[in-house]
This record gives sequence, structure tokens and C-alpha cells, in this order.
Amino acid sequence: MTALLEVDGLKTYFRADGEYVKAVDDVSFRVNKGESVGLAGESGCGKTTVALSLMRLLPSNASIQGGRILYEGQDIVSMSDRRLRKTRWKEISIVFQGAMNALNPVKRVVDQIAEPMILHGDVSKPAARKAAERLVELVGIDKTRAKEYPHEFSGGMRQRVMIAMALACDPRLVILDEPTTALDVMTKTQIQQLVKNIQKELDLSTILITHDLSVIAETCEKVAIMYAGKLAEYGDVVSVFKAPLHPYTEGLIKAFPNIRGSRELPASIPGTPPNLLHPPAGCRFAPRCPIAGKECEALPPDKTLETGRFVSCWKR
Amino acid sequence: MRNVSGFWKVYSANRKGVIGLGLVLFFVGVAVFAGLAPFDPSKVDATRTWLPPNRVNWLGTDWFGHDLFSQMIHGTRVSLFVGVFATLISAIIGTMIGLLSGYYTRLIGEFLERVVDFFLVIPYLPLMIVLVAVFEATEIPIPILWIVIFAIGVTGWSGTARIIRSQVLTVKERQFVDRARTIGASDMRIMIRHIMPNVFPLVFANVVLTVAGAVLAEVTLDFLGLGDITTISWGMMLHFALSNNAMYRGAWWWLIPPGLAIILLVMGFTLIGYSVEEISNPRLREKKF
Amino acid sequence: MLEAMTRMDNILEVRDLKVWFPVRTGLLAGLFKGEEKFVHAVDGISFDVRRGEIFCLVGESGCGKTTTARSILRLVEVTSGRIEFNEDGKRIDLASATRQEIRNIRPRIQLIFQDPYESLDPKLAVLEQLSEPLRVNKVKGTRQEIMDRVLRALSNVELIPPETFLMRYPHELSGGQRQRVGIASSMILGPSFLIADEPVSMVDVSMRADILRIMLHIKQRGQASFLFITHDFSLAWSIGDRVAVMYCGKIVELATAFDLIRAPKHPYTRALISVVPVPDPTYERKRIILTGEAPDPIDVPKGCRFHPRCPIAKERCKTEEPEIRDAGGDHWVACHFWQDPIP
Repeated sequence: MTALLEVDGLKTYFRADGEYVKAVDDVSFRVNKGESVGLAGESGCGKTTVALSLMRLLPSNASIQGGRILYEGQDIVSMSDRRLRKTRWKEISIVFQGAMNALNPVKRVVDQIAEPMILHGDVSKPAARKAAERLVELVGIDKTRAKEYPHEFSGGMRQRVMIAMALACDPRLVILDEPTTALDVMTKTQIQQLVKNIQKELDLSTILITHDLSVIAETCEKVAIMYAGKLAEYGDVVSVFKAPLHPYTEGLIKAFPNIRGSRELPASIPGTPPNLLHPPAGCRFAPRCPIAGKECEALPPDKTLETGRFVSCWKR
Repeated sequence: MRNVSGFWKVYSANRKGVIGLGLVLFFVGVAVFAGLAPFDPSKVDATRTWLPPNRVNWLGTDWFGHDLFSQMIHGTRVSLFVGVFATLISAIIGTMIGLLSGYYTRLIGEFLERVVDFFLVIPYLPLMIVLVAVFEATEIPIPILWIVIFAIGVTGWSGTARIIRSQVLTVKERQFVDRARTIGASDMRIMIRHIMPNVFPLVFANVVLTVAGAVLAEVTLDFLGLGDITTISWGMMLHFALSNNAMYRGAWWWLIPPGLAIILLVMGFTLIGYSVEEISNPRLREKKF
Repeated sequence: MLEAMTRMDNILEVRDLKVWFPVRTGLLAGLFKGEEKFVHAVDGISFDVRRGEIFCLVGESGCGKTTTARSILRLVEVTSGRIEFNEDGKRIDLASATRQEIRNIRPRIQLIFQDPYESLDPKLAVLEQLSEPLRVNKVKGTRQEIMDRVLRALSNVELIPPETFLMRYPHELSGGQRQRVGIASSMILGPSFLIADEPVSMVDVSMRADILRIMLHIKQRGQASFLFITHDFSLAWSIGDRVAVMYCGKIVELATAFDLIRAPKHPYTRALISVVPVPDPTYERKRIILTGEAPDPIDVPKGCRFHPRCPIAKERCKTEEPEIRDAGGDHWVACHFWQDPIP
């Protein structure tokens, strides 16, 4: 399988008071064609920063300090602005967190979906409108409602509109950053099912960014676990969940209560994540790790196994 | 920004704030050391009238031979005094009414909101003029200066009240206010110990801007001849200048200094106000990197 | 029905609680007086919380569970119904009590809030957050005694060593730590009944278990009973004793956590439980995905509120609202056809 996207040693830092917050510090993973990859981690681990870096949509106080992002062989980090604009939305698009509030309240929904098509130049307005209506249907909204305004839609429906917008220019890769966090579990499931169907139908690759491991278990093929700006583990979903290698992965999986399991408290991981302004010199998880040893005072090696699994730990 | 030194560090990085503070401190210094003025501002000298700036009278003299430089210095005191005290009155009224009308949304709140709207709509200048004129006419034995302060304070509170009210409305909905209620805190306690401190930064910015407005109001009243004619203020200087045709006689030294001083003092307070507002409202802050 | 089963060991008895909010009409609509519309946030629910148990109220957003919690504490006004708080042989109806009676009872009933970032006053240090409830309720004691109480409250929520937390401000603490300070401030008055409104939904996953464990300890030590409000069935599974499911202002099912989650009867519950995500990629089951979304509590559907989305709805459901009935083994369901299988 050819890699559609290959992230190699990505480093994205934020500038604060003259020092650097190492939000993403040497992260590598790949997304193959038609594959769905989950990027998991808790708040502050850097996963959203990775998403923004992929599209070079970072805020003004952040910048990519190293590494490459190869999309079909071309490095996004060093791409010219012109080429980048062509890549954005036409090749890679993104659905943001809380995106349902990002809709323009005074523009009709169908116009907002058609907008990127018109901006990218190669369709006429009426053709764009028609294509937008088809997308509205694709995301499960009745075509007759396409002419309405965002405030007439519920939260779940607005999220569907955001997905339709992300598909407007027929991208190959869609990044979804916590697309269902603020929604009810039933609406969440509806949207997840929708994304899965669309992915199969359009042969899309997706990167799903979330803190909810259960959702990744149910919808993704590969999973990358991030901790404190670094990648802890990566592999196919079944092996990572059934036989996690990194102690953080193990702890995180156990922290999700399993409604099919026995009635017990989920586990917790003692301590708090490190300050990314001055991260510890060694393994960033060591202070909270149940099996940490003397060697963990130095940065652990990145081990890639033949099965395609990756783990960054001294002990495994 | 938990404390004064933290606040100062952020404030001093803001250029307009520093300029504004510099201006205001300059005028405060002048007011404090007004006694060092070369002449008694009310000293009349019939031999030295209508003189342009010269070696004795640095800013020249007016129609009665008053030394304008000394008048300018003393005028600083009046402007600052009236500005600060009038603002104190309007800040207290505005804050109380803003707090109460924001916290209580039913009967009391609605009533107070209407009162605020009423005062907002009335043009403050005619109201001020009427108040001062009425008080002066009734010959109450209160010094005119205090009548002026009172009039400005009583007409200028509505803007503050409105801003505080809208802040209180948002803060009131925050969960920690609910928490205070569930542990049994009384409304008064919630308003004073929880809502006020969280509303304070905006209040502070607003109060500083109100001082600017009060200074201007004072100047206006004096200029119209409604202030205390016996005290020397910049507005009074302009009042006498115009009523004695200074413009016609080309006595620019009588007109420009007071006008310039008024502009600079008001600008000073306004700059401080804007920079405090920027600091306390992160959304207004420009991204600096 | 539930009315007949008033027991002495119920700490809270809710009977036919209704909380309706008037809809603010626009200026013109208000002039032409039509029918006044209401948001039927809570539309007639009854349940008991037994002493020493963790009772979970589960439902999706807008179902009325948070409004129920707030009405028990009289943070919103009750439209009709009774909320009887039963302690030391004394019964008081919170729904109709006077403001003074509510103030007197406040120390006995406390709330654990959802948002650790919003529920603490950003201007107060931890010491002040915890001593305020004592001061407000005029708890007597020397400064040392108050300090001891505060330190003990911090130790009880596992913020150890407690002295190091006294002078910290909320922005210096993590979400999990803030939530624990919140719990400590609710516990410091020694309440016998705690209402926890989504206490862990905004806390990082790896720290949730700590908060849940603290709550479980409080229950096991016999210190308090809980009304636990959540949208997450897995939490009800972990620490709930009994569970009630709410939909559109009404309770549709009520049973022990084990019975309700392992053998749900109401079609809504069955659908919800079938879609709860599980951290196991190999787990297969049939998901019952409902179409559409929960109805607007202003215009409630006639008959059974769930019928527009129900996979087994029949003619009767469109006109006749089902009563909640015991389906056997103290497992209550409000559905005409709960025995039918879902296709």
C-alpha cells in the first residue's frame, strides 16, 4: 500500500515569552490510501497541533521547527504558498473541533458548501450549487433543507454540514478533529456511521483526532497514541488494543470503562502530564510509569517492528 | 496577573498605556507643585495686559494682566480635582446600579434598567447645564465647585452602569456563582465577594475613561460660564478669552495653551483607559511575537 | 405505583416533579396574546434515592436531568410536584419550602459541578474556596479548627500533602485537581446528600477514576448518598446502584444498574446501550441507530414522546402515553410494547 501521507519527525513549537513550548516534538506516522488512522491522546498531548501543522494552519505564535510532511511525495512544510493553497481543501481538508459554530450565520448552507468549489476555480456557480446539494444529501440531510440557514439546524446537522464542506473539493484526505465531542451519544454514532460510509464510498483516507479511545477502536484501522508531544505507540487497532506495548497505552485503555466488562472502577494514571515548556530530559511518561527504571532517565529509542508497529519505550 | 508587579510588567509593555500614564503623571506633578508658580494667578497688573509670551510672563498675559503661565499651572489642579471627584461619584452610583440591575433581573432589575436607559438617552450636556443653573439660582450655600462636581457625577454614571450590568449578567451565569449559591451564600455576599472581583478589571478601565469625560465636562461647564468664575481653570481661561475677543485680537497665547492642555490631559486618561481595557480583555490584545 | 412505596430509608423522594419554563416571546407576539408556550423541561417524574446509594439519572442533553438536579437545590423554581428530603426523621418538601428553610437545609444537600474550570472562583485561593462554605454558614470554630477542617477535607480528596495546596489558585491546578477541590468544598459542610452533575465529563480520562473512587469512598464510608447525573452509561455501570433513564422530560425506565444495562427493556434504552462505544475493536454487536434527534421540549409529540423515533412504534403509541409500570423484579418501564423484539 502506497502511503498517501507520511509525517516524518515533525516538530512544531509555540513561542511564549521568548521560550519554546514543544507541543509536537518529533512525531512520525503514515496514512495509506483509503485508510482511517486515529490519533489519540489527552488534552495537551499535541494532537490538534499535529492536525494544524498538516495543513499549515498554525496560529502566528507557532511554527514548524523541523521534520517533513510528505503528501504524495511533496513536502508540505517547504511547499510554496501557491502550491499550498492548491493542496488545501482540494487534497486535504479538515473538520474542526466545535466546527458547528464555525458556520456563517447569514449565508445559506448550500452556499457555504459551494463556496470552496467556486474559490478553487474550476466550477461555475450553478454547477457548484448542484454539487453542494448532492453533498448535502450524501451527509444525510434532506435536499430541500439545503437552502436554509445554519441556525435552523440542530448541532448534529450542522456537524454534517461541516463534513459536507470538507468534501466539497473532493479531497483525498480528511482530518477530523474531535468531530463529535459536543454531541449526544446517539448523534455521535450517527455521524461516525456516516463518516465510515462516506470513507468507503469515496475511498477516502481519514485521520480522526480524539481523546476517546473507544471511538477509535470502533472506527479506525490504525491508531497512534500521543503523550506530551511525542508518539508513544502506533500500530493497527486490533494489536494495539489487544496487546498494548507502551505502558501509557495500557493505562489509557484501562481508564475507559467497558460497559461489556465487569462492574468495576476504571483505572487511573497517577500524576499529571509534564510541562512542555521544560519537558523532562528522559522519557516523558517516566514520572507516571508503573514500570519505569533507571534507563528511563534518557530518551527512549524508537523501535519499529517488522509488523509495522512502533513503540517508544525502553522496557518493551 | 495576580498582583501589582505582574500587572505592571504587562502594562509597561503597552506603549499607549505608558504614554498616557506619563502625560497624567506630568499634570499631576504640575498640580502638586502648583505653589511653585512664578506669580499669583489672580494678581492683576494693569500695566501688563494683552502681552504675548515674554521673559517675565512665559505664556503672556490676559486682559487684566494675569500671568497666564501661573493660571495654567493652577488650572491643572481644578481640572484634576473636579475630574477625579466627579468620577468617584459617578463610579459609585454606576457600579451600584449596574451590579443591582445585572444581578436582579426581575422587578428591581427591570426598574433599574429603565432608570439607566432613561439617563442614557437624556443628552448629558443640557442636563448638566440645567442642574448647575438651577442649583446656582437657588443660592444654596454650597460652593459652586461642588455643584459642578455633583452635576457631572450625577449625569455621567449611566455609561458605567450599562457596562457593569452587561458584565454582571455574564459573570452571574458562571458556575462558580452557582456554587456560591449552593453553599448558602447570600445575594449580597455573592455580589461583593464573587461578582465584583471578577468584574473589576473592566470597571477599572471604564472608570479611567470616565475621568477623561469628567474633565471635558468640567471644561465645558466652565467655558459656558456656569462654573465658579472666581476659580481659575482652563475652561474659565477659554471662557474669558473668547468673551474678550482674544481671537479677534490675535492673542493666540491665551487660547492655545489651555486648549492644548485640555487635549493632552484627556488624551492621557483615554490612553490609560484603553490600555487597561486591552490588558483585561485578551481579545483586544494584538498578537505580539 | 411509586407513591405506595414511601420508605423510611429513602433520603429523597421525588413525586410528579414538573419544571416548566415560559418561552420568552418577541415584542410583537407578546402584544397579540396567544397561547403561552412552555418549555417542558421536566414533565412529571417520580423516583426515590435510597440512603447510602448512588442513584444515576441518565439521558442525553435536553432530556431534563440537569434541570431536575437544579430544581432539587431550588436553583430553578419548581412548577409542581414534591421533592421530599428525609433526614433524622424530619421530612421537608424542598419544592414548596420557604427561602429560609432552604437556606437552613443547604449544608445537608450539596452539588458537585461539571466544569472544573468554571466552578471555582478564579480569584480565590484553595484555602478561601474551602473556608467560604464554613464562613457563610457561620460554622463556629477557632482559626486552627477551621484550618484543620480544610486540611482534612483536602486529604479526603487525595490532595496530599494538603498544606501545599492551600495557597494555590485555580489556574495553577490541573482539571482533575480542580474537580477535587470542588468536591472538597462540597464535602466540607458534611452533607448527607450530594448531587453530582456530570462530575467527570470535562476531566481527562486518565484522572477520572480518581474522582469516581473518591465518590465511591464517600458512599462506602456512609457519609452521603448520591444523585449522579450523566449521559454516559459506562459511568453508571461502574459505580451506579440504580439507574433511571430520562427522555424528553420523563423517566422511561428505572431499575438496578445491572438489570437496566444488561437487560434493558425500553426501546430507547436498548438503542442507547447498543451504541455505547467499547474500547475493544473486536467486539461486534448490532447497533440500533435511531434516526433524527430528540424532540424540542416545547412541542412535545402526542402520545408516547419517543414514538417518532421508535423502531417498534405502533398506532397506540401515537395517541396514548404509556404509564411507567413494574415489568417484574422492580424494573420499571414506560412502554406499551417493551416485550417486542427490535428488528
